[in-house]
Amino acid sequence: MEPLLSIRNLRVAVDGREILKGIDLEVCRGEVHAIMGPNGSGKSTLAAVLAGREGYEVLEGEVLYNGQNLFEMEPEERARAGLFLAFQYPVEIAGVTMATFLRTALNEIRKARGEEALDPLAFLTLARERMEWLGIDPSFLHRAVNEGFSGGEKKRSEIFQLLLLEPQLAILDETDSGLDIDALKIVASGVNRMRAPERAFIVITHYQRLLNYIVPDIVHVLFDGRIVRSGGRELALQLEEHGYDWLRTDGETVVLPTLE
Amino acid sequence: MAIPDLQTRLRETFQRWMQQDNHQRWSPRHPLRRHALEIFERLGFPTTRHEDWKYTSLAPALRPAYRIEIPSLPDLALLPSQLPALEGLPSPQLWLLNGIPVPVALPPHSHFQSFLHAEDADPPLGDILPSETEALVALNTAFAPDVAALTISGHGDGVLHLALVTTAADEPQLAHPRLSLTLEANARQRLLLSFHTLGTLPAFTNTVAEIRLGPNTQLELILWQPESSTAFAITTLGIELAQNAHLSLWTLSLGGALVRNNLYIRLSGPAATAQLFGATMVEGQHTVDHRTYVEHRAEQCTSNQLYKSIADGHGTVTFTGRIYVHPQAQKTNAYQSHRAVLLTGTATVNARPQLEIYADDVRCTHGATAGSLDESALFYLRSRGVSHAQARALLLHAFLREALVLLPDERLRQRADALLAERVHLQAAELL
Repeated sequence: MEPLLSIRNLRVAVDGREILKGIDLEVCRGEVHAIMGPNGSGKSTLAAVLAGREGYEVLEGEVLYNGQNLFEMEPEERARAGLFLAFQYPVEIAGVTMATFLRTALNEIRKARGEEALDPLAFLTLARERMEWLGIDPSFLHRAVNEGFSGGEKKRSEIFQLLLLEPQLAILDETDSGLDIDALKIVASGVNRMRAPERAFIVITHYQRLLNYIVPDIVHVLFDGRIVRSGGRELALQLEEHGYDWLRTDGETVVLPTLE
Repeated sequence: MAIPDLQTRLRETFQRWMQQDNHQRWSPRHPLRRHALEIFERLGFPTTRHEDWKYTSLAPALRPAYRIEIPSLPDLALLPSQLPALEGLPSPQLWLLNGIPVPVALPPHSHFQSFLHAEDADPPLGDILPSETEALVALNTAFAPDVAALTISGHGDGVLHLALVTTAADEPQLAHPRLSLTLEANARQRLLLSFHTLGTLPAFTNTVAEIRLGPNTQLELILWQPESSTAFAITTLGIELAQNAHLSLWTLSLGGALVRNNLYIRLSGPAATAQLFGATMVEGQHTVDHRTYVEHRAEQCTSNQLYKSIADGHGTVTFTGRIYVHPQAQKTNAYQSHRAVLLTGTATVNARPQLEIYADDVRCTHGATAGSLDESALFYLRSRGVSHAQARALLLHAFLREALVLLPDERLRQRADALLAERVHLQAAELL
């Protein structure tokens, strides 16, 4: 089966400094991949590059999404093709309501999928249904985008957008950071509800905790811009036990202890 | 022979009028008018050497060969269809047509007076404005054909709409509308002043308004300045607030050849408050220049200014905000903010806060920013499938709209929203 996302030898620099030093990753439909790694390992850079944020220099490598060269697509084209990034730090936008923002976004994506635009009433009906899944108050839609949201509300809002926009590939960038256990469970339940054979997830996290609730198929360890190990769910548990301290660079070589 | 300059032509016209004694009280022979002409003659039109006109040159406004005489008035019945900018606004209840007041349907709690044909009464012109130092105020006093004097008592329902129209269909036209508004103690009013040009030739409208707010009054004033590429519009407002009077003022300026708003706000009674909001958008060669002068003369007054501007093309926005706190004005709160977005490298934004504080118990802040759109916000919207153009339009619309969110009249707010949306190329139907 052709992978949904195929990353080959991706090297990326920010401000002239190489952050990603050759990433290879294949994600197929139906899979949930977790990418774990310590701070500064390049996790968020990977997420940002995939979503199309400016300021990142691709030095080498390619990314194919559905067989298409991702780097030839504008951020909005990626979104319309079903790529979704749940932001680690969602941006506050005064004066634009969530309803205006999301109806515009959803209708653009629906247009790309060959579906009819939703009128305001149909949009509100759908949005309220998805908000209910996450226990979000209906007044939420009339608030300005992320403005004055608490950390938890912001994360919940990102997952709500995921539920609404129904992407093919959802990348969650540290969605668990700053969440208490109850909020974490709600966020995870939203994600689990969206798990489907035609949809894939990349869950980026520092901690194993989230993976108790969103159980990954494959876990990758990102360290110093490279995926140094991939394995099953048990790899996350081992990381939990040992921390990241066993990851040491010795010159150019990553020294890995044997994990039994 | 060269055409004499505007100042010379004004003087000659005034002298000719002086010789035609028409036995009216408010004729050019009125001492106030003669005195004003002297002041204007002495000061002359301001140039960019004048500190208050540093960034805005009046020169282009003085070039057209204006008709100074008042032309015949346009047909009132046809006006609404000739002025598309009136669409979506309530019907005007009072017109000022080339400075001539034409009341249509003024509400019963208002009292209107005109001086055009009066032989005895004196128009209520006071000292709210710097009549001795502002050439354009003096020019208005000398040339205003009439003074529309309106007194409000009690509470007004809905919006009172006063439409100012300058007609420039056959010749460039110079007009001097003059308004005197008084809110008697405890009165409340919502007033819309909309500015229009009829015809495609240059129109120079030199409006002066004096507004007196009695004790415990509340005025919500909206200056509605739709786009007009042929308009030179200088508007000078003097507003005096008595004890516990509350002013909220919104200025919507969508661009013109030269739009200049001089707001002289005088907080003369304790616990008075003034809130000034401005939403401005210029493109092409348009210039909008806001000058505010907020004077705290009594204690425990609050003033707040929030102006938001977008400059596109070769447009220029200037904001000069002066706050003057007199020694006796203790416990003053005074805030001022001008935030601007520049969309091109050829657009200009000038912002100058000017603070003079002579009291010690004062809270005063000011800020001015000018920059481009927030890239992270743009990316956030695009990452959800919103096109670059739409994301930009949404952000620009939201940016300007912040200055108008408190506009109290739902219909006006929606109309303003729609106008702003149109200007930033946003489909208003997208707004929820």
